[in-house]
Amino acid sequence: MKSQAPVPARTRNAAALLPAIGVFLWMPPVITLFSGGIEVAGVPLIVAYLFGTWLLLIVCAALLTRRLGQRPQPPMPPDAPVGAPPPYSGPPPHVPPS
Amino acid sequence: MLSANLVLLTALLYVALLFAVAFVGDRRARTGRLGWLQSPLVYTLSISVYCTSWTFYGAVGSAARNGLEFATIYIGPTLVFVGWWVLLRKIVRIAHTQGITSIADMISSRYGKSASLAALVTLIAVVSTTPYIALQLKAVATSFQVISNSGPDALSGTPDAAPDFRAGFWIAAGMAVFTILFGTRNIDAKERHHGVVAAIALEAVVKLVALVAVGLLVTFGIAGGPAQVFELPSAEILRAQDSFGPRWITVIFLSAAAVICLPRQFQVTVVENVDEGHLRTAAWLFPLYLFLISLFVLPIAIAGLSYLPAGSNPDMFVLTLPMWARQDAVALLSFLGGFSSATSMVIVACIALSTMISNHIIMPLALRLRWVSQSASGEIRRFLLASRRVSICVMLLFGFLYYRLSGDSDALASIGLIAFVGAAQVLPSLIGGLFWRHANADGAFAGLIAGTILWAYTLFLPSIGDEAILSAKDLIDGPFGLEFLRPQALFGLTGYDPLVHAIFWSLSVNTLLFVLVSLWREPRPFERLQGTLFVDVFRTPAEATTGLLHRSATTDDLSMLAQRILGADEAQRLFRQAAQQQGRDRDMPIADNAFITQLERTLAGSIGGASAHAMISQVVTGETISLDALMRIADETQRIREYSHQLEEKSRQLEATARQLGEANERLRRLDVEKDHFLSQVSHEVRTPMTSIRSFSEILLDARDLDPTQSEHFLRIIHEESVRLTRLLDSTLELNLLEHGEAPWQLTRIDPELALDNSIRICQGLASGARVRLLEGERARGTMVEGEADRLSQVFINLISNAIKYNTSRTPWVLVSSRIHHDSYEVLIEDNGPGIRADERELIFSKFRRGWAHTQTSAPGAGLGLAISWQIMRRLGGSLSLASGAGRGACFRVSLPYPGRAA
Repeated sequence: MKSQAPVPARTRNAAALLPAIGVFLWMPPVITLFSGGIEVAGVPLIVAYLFGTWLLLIVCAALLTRRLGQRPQPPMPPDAPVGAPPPYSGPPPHVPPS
Repeated sequence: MLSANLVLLTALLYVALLFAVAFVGDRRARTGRLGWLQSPLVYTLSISVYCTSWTFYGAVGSAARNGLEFATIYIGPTLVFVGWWVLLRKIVRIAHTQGITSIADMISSRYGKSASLAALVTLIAVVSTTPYIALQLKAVATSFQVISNSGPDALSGTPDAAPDFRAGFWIAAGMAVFTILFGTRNIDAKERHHGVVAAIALEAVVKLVALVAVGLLVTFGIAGGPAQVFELPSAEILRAQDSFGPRWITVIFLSAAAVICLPRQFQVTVVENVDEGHLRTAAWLFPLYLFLISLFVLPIAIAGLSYLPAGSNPDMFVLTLPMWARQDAVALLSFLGGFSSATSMVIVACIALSTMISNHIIMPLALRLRWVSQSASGEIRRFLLASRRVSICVMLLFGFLYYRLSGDSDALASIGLIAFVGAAQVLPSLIGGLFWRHANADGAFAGLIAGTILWAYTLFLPSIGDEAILSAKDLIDGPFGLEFLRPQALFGLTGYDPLVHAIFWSLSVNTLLFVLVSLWREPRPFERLQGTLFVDVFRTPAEATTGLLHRSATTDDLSMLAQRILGADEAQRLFRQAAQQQGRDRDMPIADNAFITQLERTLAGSIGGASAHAMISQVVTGETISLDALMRIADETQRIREYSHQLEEKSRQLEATARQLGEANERLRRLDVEKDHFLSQVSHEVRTPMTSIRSFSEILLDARDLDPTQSEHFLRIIHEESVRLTRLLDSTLELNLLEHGEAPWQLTRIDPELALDNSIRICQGLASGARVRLLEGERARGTMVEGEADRLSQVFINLISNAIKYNTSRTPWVLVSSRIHHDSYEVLIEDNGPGIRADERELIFSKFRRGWAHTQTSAPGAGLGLAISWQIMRRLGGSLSLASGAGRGACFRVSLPYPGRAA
């Protein structure tokens, strides 16, 4: 388990922030902004808002989880200098038969 | 209408299906073909045991009464699972590394494997869960009566006859059989029940399908679309003004706490978790499940209020609406959904609680009172299984009795949230234990006891009603007439909903005591050890933990202990495996620290952390905790933080250095280009005279019959060219000396006007030869400056002779003037020649630049004069610049610092 590759800090912070965004969206006073009598396609705005943000949060969680689940590329060998040119990956150079 | 027999038959068939699924699941797990049993989907579905009959039937009832408030029950868990990375991941990781078997085990293990803490949490769980089990029994019994009711008031949802306790009893008995069969088949080392989980997953699908089917029927079959549903007059329930008040916030918080702390949730989410990676799927799939479950709650509630007779029981709308629409199949499905919700909750709760009761209450008592034989192999294991089976029966019996006693009163309706508050009392100790290293057992104890007492007094006891413990009079006037002790307005806190009031008092006092007592008392070494392992679970490598606890024991003692708890086969397998890991070919491993720790964790998986620790402690000697190692680990975190801070600092410095290096490199490159340019210019300048010298000397050598005048002419050219060459080399050398000369010049006080006069006089001859009028303008006589007369003259001569030589005007003149200007002595040399082109102005002071290159004069010159003059002025501390000329010619300005007229 401890061999798990580290997750980029940006993704980790986003994962920690997601529930906070949910709290922000679903707590007063923000949620009271949508509790007026307006209707969206026959459905009260508050119902559309609640279920819409709910679905949005689920989609965000699914996307983030996929990124958190990605195993980053294997770590560079320790002696590879930073900024070294990428290893040659083209066709092997032609060597005349000796 | 459905006949009672048909309903009963369907229910029995369904139960048979559940038994079959559980049996197959168990068989597969036993033979090691886990397959789909271990899939993240099954794991997620099993978590939905959160949705009990209280939510299956009750959510619609809640929506019919309070509008959107029902959603809070689902929003809280959504937030927790969406934020799995912060909390659930840590809990699951700890449970895996420590072999945690229940929420009580979790709390007890964190606080030094305290047996009393585990017993306390178990008691709280039992007290808050029993009424909840009663609620499920009641829901199933009522739904059975409602669906098979053929009386005139079938649609009211309130059975006319007295509650049918027989149905409740048989359901309880059936569930006991199921739970005992599949929940306590064996003492699994990891306390996992694959058969049960499979059945629960199936039930999760059934309840979702049932609720969605009813929702679709109501929305599209009866009402004709979502818009039509919300046009019904009863959609007024959404207009509640104070929907988003304190109760909204409180219940969201409460349900978030419950989805972690409820014993059954902890069981399915943490204990039954096989792979930490499954959390990734559950993180979005479980919220999606909740989303789908709650999607049709509002339409069902609104339609029920509009179509069903006034006064119908809203808690049964899910069942009565399909009956009203004469959709018997949907009604039956709905009944099965409710049945599934109830049974899955009861089964999982019974398993979780029986594990807790046997591990944390019966086992410690049995060990202390010597109820179990200490010698027979597998004796403890048999005892544990028996105690778990008995606990399950007792739990269900209690649940049934509670249901029987409370009867048809409304006391059970609100028990869902009341149970949530009871379970939430564990939250401060759990969260504090996960993130706060200093939290200790005494703090947890104080907080838990105070919180639970306040919960019981302000919420649980008043809910029981029936004058059982607290009379109605006590509620209004306070016990013994003490008004400040009124249970629902404690210390005069009025104006709040009883739930909000109870949560406020119980959780705030709980948290406060937990924090204060933890701060006041030092944790014991073992608590500190466990605290470090919990708080730093992601940072502490497994190898580092084994060196913390030093114990020694004989392998025989350990083997006997393991056999008593796990049975002979299991114990032998474990010891052989450990011996292989240690690289020994015998069956017995060396009882080192690592092995004892491993054994203790394995035993903890069966009998709980506290009991395992107690039993291991009986056979080991000299248990010491290496405080040094502990401090090191605790400091490690701090050190890593500091180290990363230092790294950041260093990388910032490196960045700055790299930038400076880059700049220096750029400067060097520029200098290099300049040098190359200079070299090529020098070569070029040298090449021209050299070429003529060579060609003329070749002519002289080859042509023997040259006439003397001609050869003299050639020799003269050779001479002139060598002189030019010498001059060029001299200039180059001089410039080099000026640029890189080390010794500073000895500056003396001189009269610059004398040097200027001298220079003008020298240039007079040149001027008259070139027919240029050399004019003198105003002069600043009698000034003294720091300088060197010869060098200054050199600059003046160079400038004046340039002005003369390159002047191509028809009436050429050169004007020399001097002045004192802004604390400096300035000499201006102006001409009416072609001037300096704008693009050349920047460059004329560099080497080999002739500002007059475009004039095409044949005047000789190496192109170094201005560069030398510029360097001289620089070394004299003054400057040479090109003044922005007024006329068309050029105007050079030589300036030297002038200390003052008085000098």
